[in-house]
Amino acid sequence: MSKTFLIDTTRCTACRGCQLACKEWNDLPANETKQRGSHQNPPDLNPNNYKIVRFHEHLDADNNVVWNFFPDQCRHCLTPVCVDVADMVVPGAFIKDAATGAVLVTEKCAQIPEDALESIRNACPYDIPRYEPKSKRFTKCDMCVDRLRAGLVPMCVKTCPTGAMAFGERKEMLDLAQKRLAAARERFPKAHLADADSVSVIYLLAEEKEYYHQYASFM
Amino acid sequence: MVSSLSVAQTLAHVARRRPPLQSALDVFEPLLSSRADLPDKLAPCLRTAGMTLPVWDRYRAGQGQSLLAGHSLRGADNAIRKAAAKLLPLICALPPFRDCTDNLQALFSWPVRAEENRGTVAEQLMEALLASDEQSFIQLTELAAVPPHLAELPAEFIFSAVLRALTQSLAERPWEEGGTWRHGYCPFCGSFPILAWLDRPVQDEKNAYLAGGGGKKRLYCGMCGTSWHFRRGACPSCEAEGDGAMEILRESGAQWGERLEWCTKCKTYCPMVDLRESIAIPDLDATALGMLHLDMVAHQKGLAPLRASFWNHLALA
Repeated sequence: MSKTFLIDTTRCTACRGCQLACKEWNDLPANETKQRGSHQNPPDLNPNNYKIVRFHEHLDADNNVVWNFFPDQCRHCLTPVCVDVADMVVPGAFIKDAATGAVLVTEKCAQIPEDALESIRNACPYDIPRYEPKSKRFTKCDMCVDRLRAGLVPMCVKTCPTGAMAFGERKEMLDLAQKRLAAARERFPKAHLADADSVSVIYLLAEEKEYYHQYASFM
Repeated sequence: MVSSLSVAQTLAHVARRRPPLQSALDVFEPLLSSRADLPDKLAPCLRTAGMTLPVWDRYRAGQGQSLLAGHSLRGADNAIRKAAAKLLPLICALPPFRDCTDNLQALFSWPVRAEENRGTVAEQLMEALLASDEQSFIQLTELAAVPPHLAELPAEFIFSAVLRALTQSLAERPWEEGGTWRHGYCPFCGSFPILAWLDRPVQDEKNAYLAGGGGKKRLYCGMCGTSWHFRRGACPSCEAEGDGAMEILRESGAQWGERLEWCTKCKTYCPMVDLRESIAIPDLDATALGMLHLDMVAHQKGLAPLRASFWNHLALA
């Protein structure tokens, strides 16, 4: 049965516990970064970060500063375009795990010729996969599929201290999303669920997607 | 809002993690699965018989009396017969009970004794079991010439299906109110638990910035299926707590959040499973069965289970 994340950005405080927990669980090394005048660090997804919390600030109609946070990760699409495009090059390089719905990168990825890499990367509507030339692998969130097989929730969900992240069976998460949405709309009239019908990582956004991140939602 | 696993799904998870337990799990799975299906079927019988439950009394609860303590169970006979018809064939397939199949069947379908106005033998047997009235229990089992030590586990198992049907009829769980029930035995039926578990994180909708981490300890009653909060550092049996009162027994390597907690004072133990990170809630009876290997080690250490079950009683005897 398909598993689903609900990420309620109205509860996210950008503590980046999820980002760090993901690195710890996957044993990913640190990045060398520079101060760029933003708390978003590292600046983008990369082979050492399968998940980052994106920061966005703007002024609202009353000239108050609004600071939005967006824990960005693979959406594990219900119909993943990356799997289709990769299959045209090397069948089985990207797969969708039937038991969980996780979109996974396999070792066959190393067989993908260099001239096909960009087309696979660009296939993702959310700009997620990154390529690691040393290992010749695309890197991205794997839904902590090893933990799922042991009956445990993904590491980012376990770590979230504010309850912004929830994880479970798709139907349960869709029900929870509707409840959270109703509650969020009392404070944020424009609150909506991003691409809920097509992804396994559903974001509850308080405002339009441009106030979070260019690829926050597809629709 | 969390999905629950069936007996079969839970035991399949256990078997994947611990293949050597497969044969033991196969023996008890039909029993546990059949009982899990029964409460829904028995509930209409209890309603038809007009069985009612007493009102939760905070004063009585404060004195340590469970809801069913001293309460008549008249009206349960039809449900008991149905449960026995379903479960006894499975129970009597287990080696210790093969020789007394007819006697056990007779015991649970004994005709009403005209000279008594105290309910049927089966109802009295259930009352005696819940009240720990050993003398009455023995007298009743002697009617059908069942040795008392062979009657106890089948009786518990059959009555547990009826009690679970009864708990379903409760609209609320009054013992959940903070501090109402602080004992290590069940607030509904008074039995000791077969399993403890650490609760999942709780979303506090009133606090936008913090979610509870979970980890509250709950005890699970294998008789009526009730669970209730209990102090993490205290013994459910003798309620000893403090430094050195409770010890932990767990396997080396991957533990899957499972362990035994045993009391250094009264030498009893209760298995415990940590569900804080679990995606779904497993069937708790099947989870207890899946910790049979820890029962075996506890047995070797001379510890006694807080509550005997088919697997930790028969397999280790």
